Amino acid sequence: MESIVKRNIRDLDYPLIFIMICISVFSCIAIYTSTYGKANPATGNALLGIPPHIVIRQVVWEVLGYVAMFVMMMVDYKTLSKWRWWIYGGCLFFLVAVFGFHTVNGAHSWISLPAGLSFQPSELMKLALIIWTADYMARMNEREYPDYSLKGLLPILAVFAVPFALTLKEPALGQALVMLAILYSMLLVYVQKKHLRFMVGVSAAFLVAFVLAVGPFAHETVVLLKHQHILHTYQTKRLISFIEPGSNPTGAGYQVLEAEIAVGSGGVFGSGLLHGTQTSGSWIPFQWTDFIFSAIAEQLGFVGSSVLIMLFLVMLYRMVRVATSALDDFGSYLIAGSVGLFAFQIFENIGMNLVISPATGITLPFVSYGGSSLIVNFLSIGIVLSVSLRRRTLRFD
Amino acid sequence: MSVKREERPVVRRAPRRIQGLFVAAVLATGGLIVRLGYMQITQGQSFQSEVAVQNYDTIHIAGPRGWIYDSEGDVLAADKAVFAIVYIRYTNDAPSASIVAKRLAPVLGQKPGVLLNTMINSYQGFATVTLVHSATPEEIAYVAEHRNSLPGIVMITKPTRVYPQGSLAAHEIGYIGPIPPSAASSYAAQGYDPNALVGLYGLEAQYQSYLRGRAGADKIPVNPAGVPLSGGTIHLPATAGDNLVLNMNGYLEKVAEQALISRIKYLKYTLNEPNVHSGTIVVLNVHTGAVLAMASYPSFKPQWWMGGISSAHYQQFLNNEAGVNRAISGLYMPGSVQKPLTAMAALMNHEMTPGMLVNDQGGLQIGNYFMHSWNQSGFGVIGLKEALEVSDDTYFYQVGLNMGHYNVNNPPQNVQKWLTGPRVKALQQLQNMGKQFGLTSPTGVDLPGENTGYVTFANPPTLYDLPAAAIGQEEAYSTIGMATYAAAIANGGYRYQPQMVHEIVSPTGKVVKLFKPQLIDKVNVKPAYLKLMRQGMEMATHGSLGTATYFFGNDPNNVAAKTGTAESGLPGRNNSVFIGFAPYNNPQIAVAAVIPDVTGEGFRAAAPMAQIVIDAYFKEHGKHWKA
Repeated sequence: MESIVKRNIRDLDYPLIFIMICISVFSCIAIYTSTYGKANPATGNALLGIPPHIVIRQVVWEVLGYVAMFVMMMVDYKTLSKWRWWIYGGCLFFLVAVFGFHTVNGAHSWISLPAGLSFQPSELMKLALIIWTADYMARMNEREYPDYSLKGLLPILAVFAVPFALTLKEPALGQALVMLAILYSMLLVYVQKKHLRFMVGVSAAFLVAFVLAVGPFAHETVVLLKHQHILHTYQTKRLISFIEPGSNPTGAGYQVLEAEIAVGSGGVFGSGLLHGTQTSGSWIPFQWTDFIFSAIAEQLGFVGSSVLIMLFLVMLYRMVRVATSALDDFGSYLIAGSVGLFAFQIFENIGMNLVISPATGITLPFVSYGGSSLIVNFLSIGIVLSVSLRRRTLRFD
Repeated sequence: MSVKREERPVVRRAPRRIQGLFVAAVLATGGLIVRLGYMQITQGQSFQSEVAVQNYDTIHIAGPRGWIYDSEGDVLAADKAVFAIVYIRYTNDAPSASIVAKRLAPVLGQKPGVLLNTMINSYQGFATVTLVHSATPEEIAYVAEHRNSLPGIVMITKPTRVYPQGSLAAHEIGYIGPIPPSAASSYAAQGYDPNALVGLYGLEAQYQSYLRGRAGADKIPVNPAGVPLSGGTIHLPATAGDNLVLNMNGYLEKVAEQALISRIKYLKYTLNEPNVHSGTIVVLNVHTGAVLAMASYPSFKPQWWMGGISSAHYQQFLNNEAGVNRAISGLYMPGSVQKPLTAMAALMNHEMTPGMLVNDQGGLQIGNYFMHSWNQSGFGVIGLKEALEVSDDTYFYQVGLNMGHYNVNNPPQNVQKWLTGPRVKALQQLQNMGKQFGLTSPTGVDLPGENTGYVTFANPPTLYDLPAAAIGQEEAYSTIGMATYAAAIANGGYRYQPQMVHEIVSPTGKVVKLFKPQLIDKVNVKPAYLKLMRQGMEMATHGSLGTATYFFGNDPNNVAAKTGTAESGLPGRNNSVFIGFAPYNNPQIAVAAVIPDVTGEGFRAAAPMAQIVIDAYFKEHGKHWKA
C-alpha cells in the first residue's frame, strides 16, 4: 500500500488539496467575523448559542479534518467495500442511539461525548450510504448478467429507507434530504438509459411544479400547506415563510429575512471584515452554522462570495476529473455520491441564503461551524484522493 | 444470446454520467451567481437602506462626568454611580419571569404578583422596563450575586453628580441640568442624548466639552413588534469625561467665603446696615493670573439642581440673585480705587508730571459749583504719592481737569465745545487706560457670564462729570477686572488672563491640557509710574494718614492697597471697594473686594475681610498648599 502511494504520488490531485485549503481560510474568516465580540472566548455565549472558543475549535476541527483526509487517502478505497456492512451497521446503531440523548434545538441529532463535544451520526451515515451503494452498483456491473431492472434497485432503496426514516424522526429534515440527493445522484450515474430519461423527466417536472407553486400559485400552495398534516409544524412554517417572506417576519421567516438583507447589503465589494452591520449586530441567529454564507456575502460582497462559489465549482470539477479517470466503477460511484452530497448541500445552502430555496437545516460544506460534518466531508475528499492515487495499475518508469 | 462478461466491450457509463452531473452543477452555479448579482448589485442599494432602519431598543448609559478638584486635589464635584435594575423582555426568558419575580420581590420589598405585572405588562411595546431607578447596596449585591438565576435582569449604571463641599465655590463650579430647549439642536449636533445632563453655569458649563462623559449604550435588537431578540445585545461602553484641576485653593476659598459672609452679617446685624446683602472677593496670583479664590455672596448649593430643583430652593436661588456670580458679573462703581488709573492715564498722556503739586483747600471751585473733597478742611499743598495715601479728591479733580485742558481760573469760552471735545477726549483716555488693565475690557476669565466694565459718558454732559470720573464716580468695574488691575500694578504692568483651571486631566491621569499663564497685555505705562502707584498704595496702608493704615499698619505681610467709596445708587449708600497686593516688595497675590450698599467710608466694609484672606494666604501657606 505504501509503495502504491509512493509510486503514484504524482497522480495525487494537488489542485483539489489547494482548493480545500482556500475554502478552509474562508471558513475561519467567516466564523471569526460572525462571532467576533459576541461572546467571551472562555465561556461562549449561551444566549446566542456560541460555544466557548468557537474559532479555536473550528481550527482544531479543520486540522483533524485534514488529518482524517490524509489517513483516508493512504487507505486503499477498495478495502471500504469489504467493510461496507460494518460501516453501515455501525452508523445505524448510532442513529438509533441518538434517541437516548437530550434534544438540541428540539431534535435528537447529537450524541454527547465527554469534554462538551458531540457527534452527529447522520453525517457519518451519509458516507456509509455512499460506500454501500457504490459497492452494490459496482458489483452489479461486474455480474455476468447484471440486473438493471427496478427489482435490482430494491436493495438500494431498502438500505436508504431505514436511515432516512430515522433521520426524519429526529427530526432532521435537511439531513434526510441530503440522503435523498445522494441516492438521486448515484442513480443518475448508474441506471439504464430509459430510466435516466424518466428520472430527468421527473426532475424537470418537479422543478416546474416547484416554480409554479411558489410563483403563480403561491396562495394555493400556502392554503394546501396549512391543511396538510404530513410535515412537522415548523417545517410547514418554514415553507410558508419561504413562499410568503413577509407573512411571519418575526418568527420562522426572521432568520431568512435578516440573512437576505445581509447578503443584499454587501454590494459589489462588501462592507469589509468586521464592518458588516447585520453580521456584527447579531441580526442573524446561528449565522456561523446554516447562514455562514450571509456573513461572507455581507462582508466580502459579490466579488468575495463569487470567489467562494467558484472555489466550490472547481472542487466539484476536480472530483469529477478523478471520477472519470478512476480505475473501477466502485471508485467512480463513490465520487459520484460525494459529488451529489456536496453539490446538493452547496446549492441548497447558498440558495436559502439567496432566498431561492426554502430554509432547511443544511450546512455549507467545509465552511459552516461544526465538527462532525467537517470530519465527514474531509473523509469524502480523502476517498477522492485515494481514488486519484490508484488510477493506474502499472507504471513503466 | 448473452456473451461472457470478459468478452463484452466494457462500456462504462459512469464517467459520462458524472460529467453530465457536473454540467448540471455548472448551470446551478451560474444560477447562483446571477441571483447573487441581482441581490447585491441591482438591489444592493435598497438592502443597504433596510439595514439602516433595523430596530434597536437602546438602554442609554450616561458616561460619568469628569470630576473637579481644587489645587490640592480635594474634590469639589464628583460623579457617583447609581445603579438601576432593568428587566429585558427576552422571549426565551418569559417562562421564567414569574420565578424571577418571586426571587426578586422580597429583595425589592414588593409583592411578587405586583412585580411580575410590572415586568410583563408595563411599558408595552418597549423591550425593557426599569424596576428600580436607584438600587440600594443590598439590592445591588443580591442582583450581582444571583445574576445567573435572574434571566433578563441587568444592572445599568447611571452616574449622578455630587458636590461634597456644599456651597463652596458654588458660583465657580456652577451646576448641571437638562439641556435647555433653546440649545437642544446644537447639543444634538454634538451627539448628545436628548436626556443628557449638561453644564448650565460656571465651570460645569465652561468646560462641558471636556467634562462630558461619552454615553454608552446597550443596544438590544428587537423585532418590529418590539420584542427583544434573544442575545445579541451590543454593549457600547460609556467613557468618563476629563477631570478639571483648578488653580483655586479650597482652603483659601473657604476663608474668603467665610470672611465675606461674616463681614456681611456683622454689617447687617451688628451695625444695622439694612441694605447690605452681597459682596465679592477675588484673589489672583500676580505672576500667572491664577484665580486662587473667588467668593460671591449670596450663594447656593450646586446639589440643589440635581434631579430637578425644588421650589423652595429655587426661591432661594432667585432671591437677591443668589445664582449670579457677582465677582465676574457684578459691576460696581470703583470710587477712589480709580485714582491710580487716572494718574497713570494723565502721566502717560503728559497731562501732569509726577511731581505735580496741588493746593487742596477742601475742594475745587468749578464754574458756579464747589466740588467738595471728602476731607472738607483740605490737606493743603500735596503731591501725587501723598494724594494716593490720603485718597485726596481735590488733587484728582485737578488731574481730571488737566486731562480735559480745563483751567478753573480761565474756563473755555465755548463751554459746549469743551463738553463735546476735550472733555470727551479725557474720558476716552481714562477708558483706554482701563482697557489695558482689564477694567473696561473683558478679563477673559474662563467662566461664563463675565460683564465688562465701562466709563459713563454722561448725557447730558456737565462740567463736573470729568472730575467725578477722575475719582471713580463715573465708572463701573467688575471685581475680577479690579483684581487684574491690582495684579498688573503689582507685577510691573503684565496683565494676565485670570484662569480658574490649572489643567485638564484624562480619567487615566494623562494631562489633556495644561493652562499656561496667558499674557493678554503689557500695559503701556512707564515702569517708574507703576512704581509710583505701588509706593502710593504702600503709603495708603502704612503712612500716618493712610486710608487703610488702621488695618494694615501692623500687618506682617506688608500689604499695599487702595480703598474706595462710591455712590452705590441707593441714596446715602456707598460701595465699599478694596484693591491691594502683598507683599509690597515682592508681590505674590492681588486682591479685590467689594461690599455694596454700606453707609460711611469704604474701608470699614471691604478692607478687613480682604485682610483676613491675605493673612490666611501667607500664614497658612505651608499647611494648606502642596507647593
